[in-house]
Amino acid sequence: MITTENLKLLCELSKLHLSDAELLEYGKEMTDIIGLMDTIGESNFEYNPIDTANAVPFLELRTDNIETFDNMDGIVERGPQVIEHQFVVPKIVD
Amino acid sequence: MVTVSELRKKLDDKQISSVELTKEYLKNIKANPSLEAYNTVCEDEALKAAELADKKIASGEAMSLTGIPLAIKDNICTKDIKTTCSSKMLESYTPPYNATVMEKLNAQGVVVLGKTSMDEFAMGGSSQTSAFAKPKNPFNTDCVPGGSSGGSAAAVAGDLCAAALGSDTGGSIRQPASFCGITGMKPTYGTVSRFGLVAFGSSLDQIGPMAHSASDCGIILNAIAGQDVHDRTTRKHSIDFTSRLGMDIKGIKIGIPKEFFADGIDEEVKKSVMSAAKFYEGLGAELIEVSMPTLKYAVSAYYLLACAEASSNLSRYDGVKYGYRTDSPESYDELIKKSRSEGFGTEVKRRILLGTYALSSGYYDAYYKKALAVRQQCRAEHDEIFSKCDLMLTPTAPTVAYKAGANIDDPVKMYLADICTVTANIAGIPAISVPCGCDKAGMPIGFSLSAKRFDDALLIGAADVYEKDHPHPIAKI
Repeated sequence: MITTENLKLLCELSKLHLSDAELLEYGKEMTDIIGLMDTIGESNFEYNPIDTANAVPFLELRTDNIETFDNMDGIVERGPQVIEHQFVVPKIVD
Repeated sequence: MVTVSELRKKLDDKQISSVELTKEYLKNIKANPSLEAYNTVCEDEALKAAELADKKIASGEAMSLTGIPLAIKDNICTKDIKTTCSSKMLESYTPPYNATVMEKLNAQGVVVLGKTSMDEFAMGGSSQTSAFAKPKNPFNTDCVPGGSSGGSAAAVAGDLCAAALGSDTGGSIRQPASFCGITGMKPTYGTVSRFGLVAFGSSLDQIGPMAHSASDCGIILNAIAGQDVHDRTTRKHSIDFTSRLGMDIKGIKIGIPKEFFADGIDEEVKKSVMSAAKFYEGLGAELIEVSMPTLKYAVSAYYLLACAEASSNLSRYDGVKYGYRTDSPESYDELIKKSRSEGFGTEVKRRILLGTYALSSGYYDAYYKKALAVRQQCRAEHDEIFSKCDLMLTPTAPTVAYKAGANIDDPVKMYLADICTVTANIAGIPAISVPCGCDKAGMPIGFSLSAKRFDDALLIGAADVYEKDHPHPIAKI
C-alpha cells in the first residue's frame, strides 16, 4: 500500500509536483503496480555481481580517443532561456 | 507494398527516380492524415536528399539504401530536425547533432521523410501516450498500432515510407510490427549504437529496423550496425546480416517454450504461431519443447529495471539546459519541479515514481537487486536453451491490436501485455517478429524468433524462409 505520505516523498525525490487529486489517483495506481512488482519477491534467485560481469560478452573496451565537440554554441542556443551565452536560472540566493 | 530490395532494383534500373519515389510517399502521407503516423514530415529536406541521391545513383555510387525513403522514430536525434519523443518536454527541441545511426544512414544517401510518433519517451505499448500525433492501425483505424514504435509501424504498413527505424526497450519494435503486419527486429544488445537515441532504459534499449520483409531488415542492419566510439557497449563485428538469406532449415533446432503458450495468450494467436512452427517442422526443422521458469517474474523484473534506469536517465530534464520550462518559477527548486510536472505526461511520471521507489533506501534489495538476480537467471536460462536449440519460437504478443482507449487506465494490464517480448531485452538477445496471418476480424498476428547473442543473421535467414512462403497481410487503407 502506497500512502499519500510515501508518494509525497517519492515526488520529492523525483523532483515532481502532484496536486492533491493526482496524489489520490497515482496512489491507487502505484499500489496496484507495486502489487505486481511484489511477485518478484517469490523468486529465490541471488544476485551475483561477478557472474553478471562475466555474462556480458560485449564490453570490449574501446581505445580512448579525445574528440573535440565543435557545436557548443548550438547546445547553448537551445536552452529555454539564454543571456550572453549562459543558461538562465532563478536566483538561489538574493 | 514494395520492399527495399525491389525499390533498389527500380532505382538502379532507372525505372523510377528517388525524387519520384519520395513524392509518391509524401503524397501517401498527405492522403492518410487519419493514420497520424508522423509528428514531423520533412518535405523540403526529403526532396533535396532525393535529388542528391539521384545524382549519386547516376554517377554509379549508389549504396544499398541510396535514395530509399525512410521514416525515423521521434526519439532518434536528427540534426536540425525536431526530435520530440512525443513529449511536451521536448516539443521544440531540435538536436544540434545526429545520432550515430543517422550519420550512417546519411552516408548511404537515404531520404528521411520525417519523424514518426510514439509513446511518450517510448513508455507504452499502444502509442496513445503520445502528447502529439496518436497513430492508428492501418488494418483498422479504431485500433492501436502498438507501441512504442507505433508511428513507424503504421507508416510502414500504411505505405507511408519504404521502411523505418524504431527502438526496442521491452518489445517496442516487435509488438507494433506484430500489430501492423510487418517485420520488426530488435538486434542483439551492442549491435547498433545508442548514441543519439534519447535514453529510456540504457541496459535494454536498442535501435532496429521495421520493414516489409526480413531481408529488408538485414539490409538496414548492415547499414546501421557497428562499433561506435560514442557507445562503449557496441561490439566490433563483421557480420553480414543478409548472409543467411535462402538458408536450409533442415536440421535446425527450434525451441518452443511452453510458458509462452499458457493462459492469457489468445487462442487464435496460439494457433497461428504453432502453424508457423509446424511450417518449419515441415521443412525439416526439429521442434523441441523447452522451459523458461523465470517468465513469471519477467514483467516485474523488466519494469523494475527499466523504470529505475528511466528515473535516472530522465533526471536530466530540469528546464535549464533544454526542453520545456515552466513560466515564472519562484525558486530554482520550483523551476525544476514545475517544469518536470508540466512537461511529462502521466505514464512517464508514473514510471519515474516507480523507478525512484525501486531504487530508494530500504527497497533497493527487495526490488532492484532482486530484478538484477532475475535478469541473471533469465540469461542463464536462455544460454541453456540455446545450448540445445538454434532458435526459439514464441508469440510476439498475447493478443492482436486492441481498440484505442482500451487498457490506457489500467497500467497493470498494460504492463502484463509485454510478457512475450521483455525477456529478449532482459537477456540482450536478438529477436524478430514476423507476420503469420490474421485473426477472424482481419487483424494481423505475429510470431517471434530469437537466437543466442550475435546470431542475428540466422534470425533474418529463418524469418526470410517463412516470408517467402507466407506473404505479409496488406492493410486496406
